[in-house]
Amino acid sequence: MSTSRAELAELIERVAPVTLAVERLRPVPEPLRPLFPMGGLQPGWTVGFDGDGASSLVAALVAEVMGADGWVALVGVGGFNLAAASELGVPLDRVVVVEPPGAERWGVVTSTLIDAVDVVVVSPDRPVTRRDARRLVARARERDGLVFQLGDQRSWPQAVDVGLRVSAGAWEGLERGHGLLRQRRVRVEAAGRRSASRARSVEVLLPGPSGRLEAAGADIREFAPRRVRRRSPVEA
Amino acid sequence: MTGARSLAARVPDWPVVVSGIPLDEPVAVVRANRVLATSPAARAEGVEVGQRRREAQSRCPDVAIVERDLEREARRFEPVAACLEDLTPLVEVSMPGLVGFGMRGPSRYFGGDEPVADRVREAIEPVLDGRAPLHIGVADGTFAASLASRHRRAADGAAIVEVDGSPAFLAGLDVGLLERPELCDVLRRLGLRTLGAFAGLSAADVLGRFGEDGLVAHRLARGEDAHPPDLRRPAPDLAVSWDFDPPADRLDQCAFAAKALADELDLVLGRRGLACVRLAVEAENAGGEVHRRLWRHEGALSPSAVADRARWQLDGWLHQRSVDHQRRTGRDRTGQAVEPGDTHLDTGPGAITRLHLIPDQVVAATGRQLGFWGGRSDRGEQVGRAVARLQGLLGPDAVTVPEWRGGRGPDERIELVPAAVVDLAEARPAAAAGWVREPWPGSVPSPLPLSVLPEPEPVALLDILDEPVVVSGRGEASAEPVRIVGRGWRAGIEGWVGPWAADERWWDPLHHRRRARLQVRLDDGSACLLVVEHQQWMIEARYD
Repeated sequence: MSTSRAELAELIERVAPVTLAVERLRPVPEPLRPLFPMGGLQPGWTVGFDGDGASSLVAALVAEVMGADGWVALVGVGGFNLAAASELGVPLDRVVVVEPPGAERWGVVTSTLIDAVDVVVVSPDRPVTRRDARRLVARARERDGLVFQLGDQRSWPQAVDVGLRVSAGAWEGLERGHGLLRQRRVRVEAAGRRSASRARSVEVLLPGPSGRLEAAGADIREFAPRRVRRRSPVEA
Repeated sequence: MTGARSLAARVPDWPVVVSGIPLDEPVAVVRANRVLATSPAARAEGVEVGQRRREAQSRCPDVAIVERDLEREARRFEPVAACLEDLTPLVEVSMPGLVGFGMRGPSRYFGGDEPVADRVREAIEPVLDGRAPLHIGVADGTFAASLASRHRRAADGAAIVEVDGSPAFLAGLDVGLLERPELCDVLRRLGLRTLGAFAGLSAADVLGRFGEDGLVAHRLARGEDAHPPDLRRPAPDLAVSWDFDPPADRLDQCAFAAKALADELDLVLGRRGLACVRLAVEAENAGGEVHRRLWRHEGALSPSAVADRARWQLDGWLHQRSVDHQRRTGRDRTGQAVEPGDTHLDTGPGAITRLHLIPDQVVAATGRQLGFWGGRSDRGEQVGRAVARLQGLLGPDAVTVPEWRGGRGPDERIELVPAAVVDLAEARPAAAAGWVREPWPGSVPSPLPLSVLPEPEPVALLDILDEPVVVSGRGEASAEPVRIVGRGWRAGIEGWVGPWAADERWWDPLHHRRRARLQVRLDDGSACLLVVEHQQWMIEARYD
């Protein structure tokens, strides 16, 4: 064999067409696309989740990002009901659950995982050190992984790339003595840094009647500062 | 062109033998809730490989269920393999329970196949000490030899297939013996029920339809060796080695080195376009002893498979040494009685100074076709490696993977099993949706609540007159709940349904629980699942 595998790999890299950032985007459920500037999650992002219904939103996003062959690791996410996550579409045969490691091991555990899986979901019960967080984020950027951070945003020492906040949740379908919980209408707000800095929000059903995340009708509001319209001289 | 003449010595039901329970008692060894091996007594009662644990217990209520312990199997098999080293240096362990070697040299030296088989029996039977039978088969090709060892003549004496007789011997056997379930399923539906019928197909057609793995199976069915005879004896510089300084006195140090070496070997071979089918693992200790063992794997060995084999071997060897030491002195070096499986080794002459991995036989790497036959997945293997690293860091039970179980409560349907006991690169049906089909009356309806409280939060559930709502023995609520009061908060109830009574384990007075669950929607739009037991209401889970 005249050409070694390493040389081949190098050649492949050289002749491969340039990939645009938009082609490497990680998919999100269709109804959530308006929340993100490019319609998806950028590889390497850290995403914060907050509010009543944050766990459901994590499950719905994880399910979409995992796709057909992705893996997810949950590190110290206590009380996260995997049976319910499975109903939102998370394939449980590609889930790894890690007990909360001690503070001194948190950094090495999470950065080992981000090397192997597509998404690491963390829910630190005590503030993460700046060093550990920076190490994890840098590793995620390098490996095109995603870090989902669930729970108290104050435990995270630096700004997340995009923060998702679930609010105004209202369950429907359950009445006094009859019916069952069927769907929940929620508002998801996104605000972040750089390209994601413009706040947007969207209303979705989480879950919808099908059990998955569904659209609740097009309703996108932008919270950008409203432009003051100058009165035209004619009106004045 | 048939395969090289080989001998296979098999200890049937090795996983059961290792469990330490006599074979005339019913035993089933399970992995991931499926029966993997049975004792003859259990088979007589109708317990079969592949059944679920419950099914096995229903066939034979007093069957002893044992979890599989692959490391123990390998460790206990080490003395069996080691006693053959007096006969030939090229002893190959295929799996714990099956060992073999090439017959060309030994057969000439000892004057025929039968004398060699007798000597193998004489060597191994004292080690087994009457706890298990030994089956010996001799044939052309390792596959034919291992099947010959299943023949009824193999139990006493040896089943010897004459020279060039392997194709005829195999022709009448069932195609399922190839141990490739998907392939065999297709072959049977094509009407090819015997190995002979499959061997009759042309190799080109088999390659075209079933790919590389199908071709290997076809070669086996024709009585040839799994890999064509152009096995190259690799150049010595392909071997990789690791020096321990100071000498390694713990098994996990060795295992870590084995892992790194396995990855390095994979890289070295990959650069030359080779894959290893037989591997020698060689360890040297500070006392100058060298321990060498050959490992065969018909599919080319992946790095994690190589690392596993190296670890099994070292575990077996080191354990044997510490047992010998204990036999001499009654104590180990630190003065404590040695436990089986103890991974702490003595630091003296027994500590490992060097570890070699030597690819003994290599073939051109044709690549492993992934996916089509539900084969091993690369991603799974990658995750498996990360998991192994974390287990080294945090302990074996810190990393778990979910599997489905039956249950009523919101979190009782999932059980977290240690990742060490499953193979992440293989398909895991117990983790796939639809594994549990049986209905569980009184279970919580979908959608399930996403966050289950680690400790249920006690609350008071009040009716319109501020009286506590109680649930009767028949599972009926005394009044409509209107208000819920927790510590430091209160909320109105806008919707509720239930209670669903769950009378769990009524047959077992110690674990008997009577509970009832109620789904409620609060006036802030959120919802939660309440549970009542002994008239105390608690929030069990939130629909987060």
